[in-house]
Amino acid sequence: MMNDDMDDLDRALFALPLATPPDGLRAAILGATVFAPARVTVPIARAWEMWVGGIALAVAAWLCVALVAYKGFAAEFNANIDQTVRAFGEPSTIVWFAGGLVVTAALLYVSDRNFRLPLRGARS
Amino acid sequence: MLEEPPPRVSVLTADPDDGTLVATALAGGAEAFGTLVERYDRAVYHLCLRTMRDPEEAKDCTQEAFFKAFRSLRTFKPGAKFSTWIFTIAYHACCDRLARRKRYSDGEMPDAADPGPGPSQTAEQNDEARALRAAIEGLPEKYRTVITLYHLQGRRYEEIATVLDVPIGTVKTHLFRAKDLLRKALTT
Repeated sequence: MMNDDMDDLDRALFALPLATPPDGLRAAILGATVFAPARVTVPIARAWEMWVGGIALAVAAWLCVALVAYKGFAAEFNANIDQTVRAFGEPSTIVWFAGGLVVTAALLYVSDRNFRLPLRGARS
Repeated sequence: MLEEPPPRVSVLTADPDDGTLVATALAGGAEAFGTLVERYDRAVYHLCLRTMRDPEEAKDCTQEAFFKAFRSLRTFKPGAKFSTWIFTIAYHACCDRLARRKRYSDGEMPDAADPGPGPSQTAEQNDEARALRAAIEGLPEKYRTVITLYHLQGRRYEEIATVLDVPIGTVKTHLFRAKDLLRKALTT
């Protein structure tokens, strides 16, 4: 594939000088690598915070394990869920919720009207 | 048969060898990496300039290449050639930039303007060399890069193929075509 009759071209190619890098290139590279200031590593949390977090996690894990290990856990859990869902479907609960929503909306409406101050420029 | 020309980068290689310098740098002697920078910054810049044809972008690619090399020095395989490794990183940095350049331009990207003669180029009195450099500048990107690596690494096709991530056969074909184009450009 290669032509061997290109001696002159090859010689000329290998005689070509390399391009001269711009001033400061080497210094910039060294400054970003070898002489880069050491990174200050900031810990995510202080030591006592880590301890508190670790203990809280351990307690939470222990509680989870204790709950799951309790024999009647699954049955009671399901019963509670069923009871909660059923309670939300009862007419009295719905009435209480509706009442709460109406009162909240009324309070918002009243407070908005009473406390909206007129703009300074709009005063006559 | 042509005699094997010495690779460009080996001229710069003196004791300790590159592998030792990498090992020293990894062991905490960061100054050893400085020696590697001194050995290869010019060759890497030359490759980037020939690929990008823009001195500013070539400078950025060179810096990026050395920065990446420094950050991932642990991934350098013992026994591998540092020059091939750093050229590969530099070539990828250039390819990324060329791809970005193409993405932001409509259609064919016009080649950047010739940077003009630098300090070393003005000192050069050889018209033939100037014509050859101009002819290389006029080559399509793939041929320009392969001829630049040929210039930097000598007739070590395997290393050129490693840098470009192409088969050796492709390197030989590209070189053949590049030289053919150069010869035509120089005779017209």
